[in-house]
Amino acid sequence: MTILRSRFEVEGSMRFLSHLDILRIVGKTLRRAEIPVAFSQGFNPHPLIAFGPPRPVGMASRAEYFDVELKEHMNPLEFQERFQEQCPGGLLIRKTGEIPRGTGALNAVINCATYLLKVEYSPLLTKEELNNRVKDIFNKEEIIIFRHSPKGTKQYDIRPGVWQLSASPLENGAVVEMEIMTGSSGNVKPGEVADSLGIRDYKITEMVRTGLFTRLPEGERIVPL
Amino acid sequence: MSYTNIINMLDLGGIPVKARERKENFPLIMAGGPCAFNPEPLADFIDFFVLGEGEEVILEILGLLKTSKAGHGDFNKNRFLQEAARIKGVYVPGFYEVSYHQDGTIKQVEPVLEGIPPVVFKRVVKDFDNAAFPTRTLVPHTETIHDRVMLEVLRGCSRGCRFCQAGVIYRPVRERDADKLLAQAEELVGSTGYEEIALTSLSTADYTCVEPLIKKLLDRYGEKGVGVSLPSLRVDAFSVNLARQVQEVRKSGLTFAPEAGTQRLRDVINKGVTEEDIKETTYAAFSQGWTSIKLYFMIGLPTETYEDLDGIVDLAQKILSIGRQAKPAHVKKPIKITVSASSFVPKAHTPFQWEGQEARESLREKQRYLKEKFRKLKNVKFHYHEVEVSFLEAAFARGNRRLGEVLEKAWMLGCKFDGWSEHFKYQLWLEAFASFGLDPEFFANRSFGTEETLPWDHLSSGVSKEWLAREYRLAREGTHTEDCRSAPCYGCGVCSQLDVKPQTKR
Repeated sequence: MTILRSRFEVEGSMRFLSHLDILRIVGKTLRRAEIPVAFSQGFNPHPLIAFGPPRPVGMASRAEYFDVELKEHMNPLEFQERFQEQCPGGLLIRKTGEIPRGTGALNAVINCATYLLKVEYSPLLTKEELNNRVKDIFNKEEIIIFRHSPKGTKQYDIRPGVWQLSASPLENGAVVEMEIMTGSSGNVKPGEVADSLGIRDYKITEMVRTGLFTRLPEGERIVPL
Repeated sequence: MSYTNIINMLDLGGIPVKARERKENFPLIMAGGPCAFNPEPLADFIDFFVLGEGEEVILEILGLLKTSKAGHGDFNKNRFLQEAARIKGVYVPGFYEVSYHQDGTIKQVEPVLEGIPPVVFKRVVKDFDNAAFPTRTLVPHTETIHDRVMLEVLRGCSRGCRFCQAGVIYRPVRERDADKLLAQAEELVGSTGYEEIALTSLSTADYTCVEPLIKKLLDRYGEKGVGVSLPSLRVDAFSVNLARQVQEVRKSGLTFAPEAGTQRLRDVINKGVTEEDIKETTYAAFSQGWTSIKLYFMIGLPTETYEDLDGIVDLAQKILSIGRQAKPAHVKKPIKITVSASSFVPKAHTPFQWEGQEARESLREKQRYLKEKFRKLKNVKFHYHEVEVSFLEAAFARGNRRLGEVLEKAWMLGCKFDGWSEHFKYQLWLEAFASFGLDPEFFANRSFGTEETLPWDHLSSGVSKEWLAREYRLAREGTHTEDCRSAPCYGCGVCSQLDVKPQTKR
């Protein structure tokens, strides 16, 4: 049995589709491309496809991943070509490779994500002012944010999940880049980090997930593929 | 209850909502589908309607449009509509004048131009096997209704339920060749990537080749993880068996529609289902491991009494105990029954078109009665629909052209998406009716006289009004009419009037 891992990008209006929509699109594309996907055994067989952490609606991405288990061996390049041929525009496979059996599931190994946000606001802030705000964040012991859900409001400390952060001025605002915690053991949302910069009434004009990684305790980042 | 959404869509598209306010530079608005069989409430808004099946007539319309526009920029809407009105199946409401009696009933509907047919007949595809069937369809990225391969195995239904509009307007029955269907399935699965093939029709278990077709589809696609689904099931053991074949393991619920609680009332509505059938069917379903069954009924059917309501409760009770007996030992889940009772809405072109809907208070009383009875029954859930919604549905289903201004007014008052209960604004609808001195009860609750000109009498499904009247009479006598597939022709008129024949496969 072969397991193929693919990295794909989501761009243009496709970014407004939800994670579940993308799951369905990939499923349909695999069937149209007649990829020999393996099925789970048992009473209710389902195709063996697994995705990485969900992408927020509205966010473009340069690094989404999925694994497919195949019934028979297939050359990764051939997979990539056949898949792309049947795939709707805005969803682009950039790389496919075979991974050894026993490789950890995407959702289990990915714990770190990088994002790029472009924000607009006024009055503008200088490079130095922005740097100071970033420094302030790293000087803090904790950053408490509030998460609202129908079940109620919860407090959450995002500080341990912010590993890197930078902000540089643009003509109308700034570009903010960050490396933050993601996944089941702890999750920081890029918007929460942007909020902590304390910029009033900013507007996000662009947001991109630029990478997903396995981050080791010393800070080394490993790409899933 | 989607009528105002049509107006809203036109408005959001920057298009004047009324046909006569749209000058040459605005698009032509055409409409079709079942509602086009009583399109009068929409007559003010739509340039032309198409009655019946679209496969062939759409090409004729587009052909006419092409030649009309081939001239040197002198396309004229009115001239186009005049020519379109001569195409069979096309109804241009603007070319018909409706006159009324003092009491608000219709005096006559007359074409105002020479050469415009006094009665528009629906279109019907004679050679259903070779009718165009698109196999490269749009595949939405988000989940939508009917988000699967739709394989239409047959069209029409001749069972003759007297409340059913589809059973009249889609006549006659025509089945598609199984090999054609398999080829279509192949192309559709290949081009769409869907993981489910629905065998659609008004009653798929009636398709002569349904078993071999399902078997072949499962053989071919089962391994690829593409399943088969049956959206409509008859009340019989054969249907349960089909359901078992297509969903080997995943036991969702099964839904059956006995429609009425007693044999007497089922004979009135010509639902050819006996209590024995229902027991047998549910026994088969429970013994094969299904634990939840949904039953559809209607209340307010012609001649209904409280005995018929007791019949619904009684039937649910019997099915519950059948379930407890039939359930295999290894199934741990308790038997659950959902009973859904909607209020009968009389529809145009059916034997019950003359029958007024039961008064709201009396329907509410019946709902309360059933609710109380079912409250005492464990493991039975009872659902019913809001009476006010069914009431307005009836008003528009049997409405005439005067309701156009009501629709526009209601829309201006803010009635949109009224099919969604949280957006249903009953008071505003009443206000809209009242502002033109109209009473929805006149359309919904009044029984129409047999001599009365009905708002849709100039539109024909091919089934004759005389036959509908005869069926209405037989209904009140409680006499069953056999399905013409298995019994001799009873002369509904569709085949002779439209020069078609039923097509069934062997």
